Amino acid sequence: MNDLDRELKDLFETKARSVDAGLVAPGAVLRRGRRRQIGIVAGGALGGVAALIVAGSLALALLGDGNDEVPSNQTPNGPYGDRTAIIGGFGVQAPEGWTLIDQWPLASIISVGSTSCTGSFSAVGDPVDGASEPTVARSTALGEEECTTEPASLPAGIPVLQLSTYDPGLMTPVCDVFDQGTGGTLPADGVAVFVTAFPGTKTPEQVQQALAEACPVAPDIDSIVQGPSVTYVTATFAGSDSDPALLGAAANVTDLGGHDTRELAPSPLSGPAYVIGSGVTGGERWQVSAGVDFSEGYLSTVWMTSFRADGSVTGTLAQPWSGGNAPVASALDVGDAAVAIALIPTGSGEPHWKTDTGVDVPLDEAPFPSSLAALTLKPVLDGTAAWAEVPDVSGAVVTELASPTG
Amino acid sequence: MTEATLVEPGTDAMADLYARHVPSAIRLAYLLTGDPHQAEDLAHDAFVRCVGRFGHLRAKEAFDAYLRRAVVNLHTSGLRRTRTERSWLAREGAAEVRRTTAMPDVSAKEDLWRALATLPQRQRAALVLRHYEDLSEHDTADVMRCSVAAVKSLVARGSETLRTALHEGGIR
Repeated sequence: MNDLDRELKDLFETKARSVDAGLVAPGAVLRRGRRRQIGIVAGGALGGVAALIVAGSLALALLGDGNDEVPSNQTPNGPYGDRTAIIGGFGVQAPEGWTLIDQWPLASIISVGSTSCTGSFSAVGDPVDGASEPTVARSTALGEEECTTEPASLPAGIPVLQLSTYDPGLMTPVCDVFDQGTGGTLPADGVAVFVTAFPGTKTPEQVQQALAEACPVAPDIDSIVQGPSVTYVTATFAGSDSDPALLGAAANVTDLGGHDTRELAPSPLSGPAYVIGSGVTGGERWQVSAGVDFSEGYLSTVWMTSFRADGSVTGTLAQPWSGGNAPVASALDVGDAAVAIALIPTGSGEPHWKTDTGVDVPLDEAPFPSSLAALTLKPVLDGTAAWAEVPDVSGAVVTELASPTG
Repeated sequence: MTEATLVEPGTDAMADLYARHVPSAIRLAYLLTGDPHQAEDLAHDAFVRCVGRFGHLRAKEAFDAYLRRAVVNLHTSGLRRTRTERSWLAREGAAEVRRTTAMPDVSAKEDLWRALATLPQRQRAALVLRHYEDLSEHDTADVMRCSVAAVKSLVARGSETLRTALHEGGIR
């Protein structure tokens, strides 16, 4: 080490010591970190999207019982069976082994814009992720305070759902909906059907161009429906080594045709979720979803949602899991019976819904998605989500050791 | 905390991560930028990036290394946003008064400090990583995402520029 090296080292240490670097994290930094974690494009007023969004009503014809013409995934990577679900007002049939994610709850957290206000300084908006220049939409002077509002970039629209032959993760749809500059991801052998909503009116050419830029491969646009203020799009994406049979199947599982447009209530779920089961009870359709509840500290949660024949929501039940080794369960009236949902930690045994009156109903089980661990510091359930139609809401889950086999 | 629970942190854990790692990141950023407010912004931006991807980090225990890399890359990539208000503060001179303390050997050190400010960003970053962070040439190359040869070149050219500047200034 020569003299200059020593002097540089001494200078650096002296200068570094002179900086007053506090240990307390500014609240704004923590909020930015949290927003980054959950993928919010930019800070700002939340919930604005809901007012913008109208959605198509359910085309119940899509929800028929038969899906014999839909081949199942040749290389299933999911544990879930055939499901018929309603997401964002759209009916979807998910073949066994495919991953179906309800992304509609993201609409409540994706901001359509951010507002920066400063005191006597000139206003500079936050660019998306700090990785691009901000687009300044307008500035308003409020006394000595100047505010600048920027439109959020929604390169792939607001995601409604994704049905895919692979598990993309709850927060990472096939397309780059959060404008992270990633271009999205798609396995070479993967096929994904993506339903999204673009605010405003979009021509087919605009949709094609937008998705081509925000998604990993060129989209095959299956359907475009123009609502009063939203353009709904169903697009299919096929990896370079994907099976053509899967592509054909994907094209049939979601169809936007035949619906009108109307205002749609926010998602009944409080976080994006995997749809893991479904059924019909007393003429009402219901579905079971597993994910994390944004409003409840990112707890592992299983939801049950029931729908009328027209697709409107009749009831929602959330059963969060706060840790521990004990199963948790609850039930919701559906039609002329009820549906119970439960979260069962590993090693608890086979779950049954039992009552004092002798009711004993074994529950269907599916592994709780382990990929949720990437979203939260909270313990993610290591176990299963379970559900079953039961006579009424009274009762509780009792677990039993599996019977010996041979 | 076990590895299994080392996933994306909640607010409390995030605050703890901040307390443990961001102050040193601010000091590093200050050496890179020469401006305490820019340094704070830079370190905060880097922290937000790293904490946002915490669940995807391969070695979560090496958060400080990820943060260091983010600070350097955000600084040298030029992708950081410009904060007009920060520039205004810097021009007014309030920053140095509030954020730094007086040094007894101001003259010599300040000559070197000013000379350092004239270096290209990557030369300065290479010198800071080598002489402040005490990183090897290999580790410096890893942080800066360049070759070891490039690091050697950056350090050599930076050092030579500093010597020349100090010599012409009559200091050496």
